[in-house]
Amino acid sequence: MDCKDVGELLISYLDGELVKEEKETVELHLSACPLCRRELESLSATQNQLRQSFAVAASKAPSPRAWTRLQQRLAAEEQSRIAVFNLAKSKLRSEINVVKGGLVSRQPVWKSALAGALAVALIVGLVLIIPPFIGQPEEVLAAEIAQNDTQVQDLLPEGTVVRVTKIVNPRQGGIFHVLFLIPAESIWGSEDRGEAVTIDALVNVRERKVIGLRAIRSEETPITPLSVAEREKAIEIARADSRVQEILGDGTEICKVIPLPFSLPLDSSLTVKVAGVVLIAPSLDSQAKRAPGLRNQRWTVVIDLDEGKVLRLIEATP
Amino acid sequence: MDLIQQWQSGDSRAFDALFHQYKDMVFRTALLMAGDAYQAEDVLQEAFVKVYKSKDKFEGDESSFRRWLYRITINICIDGRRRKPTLLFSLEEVGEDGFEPVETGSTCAKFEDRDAIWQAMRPLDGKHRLVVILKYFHELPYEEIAQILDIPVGTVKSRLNTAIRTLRRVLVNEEGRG
Repeated sequence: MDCKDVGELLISYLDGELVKEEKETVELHLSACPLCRRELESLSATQNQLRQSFAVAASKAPSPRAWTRLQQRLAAEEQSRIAVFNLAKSKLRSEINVVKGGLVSRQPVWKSALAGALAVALIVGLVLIIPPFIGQPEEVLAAEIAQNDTQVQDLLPEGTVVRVTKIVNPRQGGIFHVLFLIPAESIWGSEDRGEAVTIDALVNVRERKVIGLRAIRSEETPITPLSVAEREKAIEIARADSRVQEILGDGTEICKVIPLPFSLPLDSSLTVKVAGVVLIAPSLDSQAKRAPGLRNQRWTVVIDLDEGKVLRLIEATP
Repeated sequence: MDLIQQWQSGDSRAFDALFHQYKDMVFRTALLMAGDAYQAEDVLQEAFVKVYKSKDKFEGDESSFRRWLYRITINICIDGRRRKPTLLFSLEEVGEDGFEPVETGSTCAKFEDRDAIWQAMRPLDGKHRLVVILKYFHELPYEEIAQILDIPVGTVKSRLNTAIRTLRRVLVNEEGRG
């Protein structure tokens, strides 16, 4: 073993991490090599300097209140969890029909409630124009209506600060989404640690009531991943569309299926599960050579998975 | 029945005992990584909230609990780095490739004695700094460092070799200038 080989073992030697044979070999070399002995001393001195500078941290301790703070925090979380657990769990599981890992609401209450409300609004609206609340923007009112709704309150964990209250684009006149982002574990307990749940209240401001309610599991965004079945369904729906057939017949291929944000008003329907099937045209060699960064022509077929229909076809020309 | 078993069987005093047994370890690790006592306090809270909530999921004895707690602490510090610019390194730096030495700055003003440590650690990037903390502060064996960081023992050795030689070069230069 030469000086280079021994040199690579010196730190492990100082750290007491060599096996017996290696240690003996290193010591044999050191006994005959003054250069490597100096190297060993130098490395040892550096380690000692490092340990001395760490001694500052070794004298530090957390605040004496750390344990009390932890107890208070755990107690608050536990109380909040217990307070809402049974109620919220039963509501979400039975009424909103939770689908784990995906979008929640596929139940008829959502749409029938909305359809009913719209019908009522239409009739009432023909007879009587309900004045908006003077001096208060409709979105502020929508948030207030949602927050005061008993069903919404039942879903929000008590004692937990609602992280986000957000009004998404009004889909139709007087109808707003009000979103509350809460930790999933406050509803489902520890099984969903780290996830967030968006409680989405659909509010009809003109009628001053919540006309739809659902919960969406997500990290930070209401875009939920598509299952394999949903992807297949989206492709099937897309392929059945005559406009898509026309495009596909031209050598264009289906590239991917993506989930789309539910909250964007794609049209006047109240679809909440939306997929985009992306189609990409074959590349043209001459074009590619001329401009390598040029994207191929592509289309996104926006699909309503609940209704099983194509909502729109978006064409992106390069 | 050991402390971990007592805790998992629902004995709240065991959780109290675990906290007091490991609070310094978590706090000091976070302090060395964050360079900020206030952030280290927050990391301590976060780490034990995670421990508390994972009571039914944790499987292992007290030595694996300690490794797990190191890992939790390191992950919280790394996650915190994404949100707060004051931590010493990011997850990317801890990865195998593509790291750069961390810029020093005046962002850690709360830790009064930070300079000595900061100066010593300054030449090292995140992943080398981490093995140095675990080895020369916590005095952990290579095998345990490898388990905590989920890397081979050979990688621990090579990182320590690089780290100590880098520090020596910097210290020699500084002494030469002094």
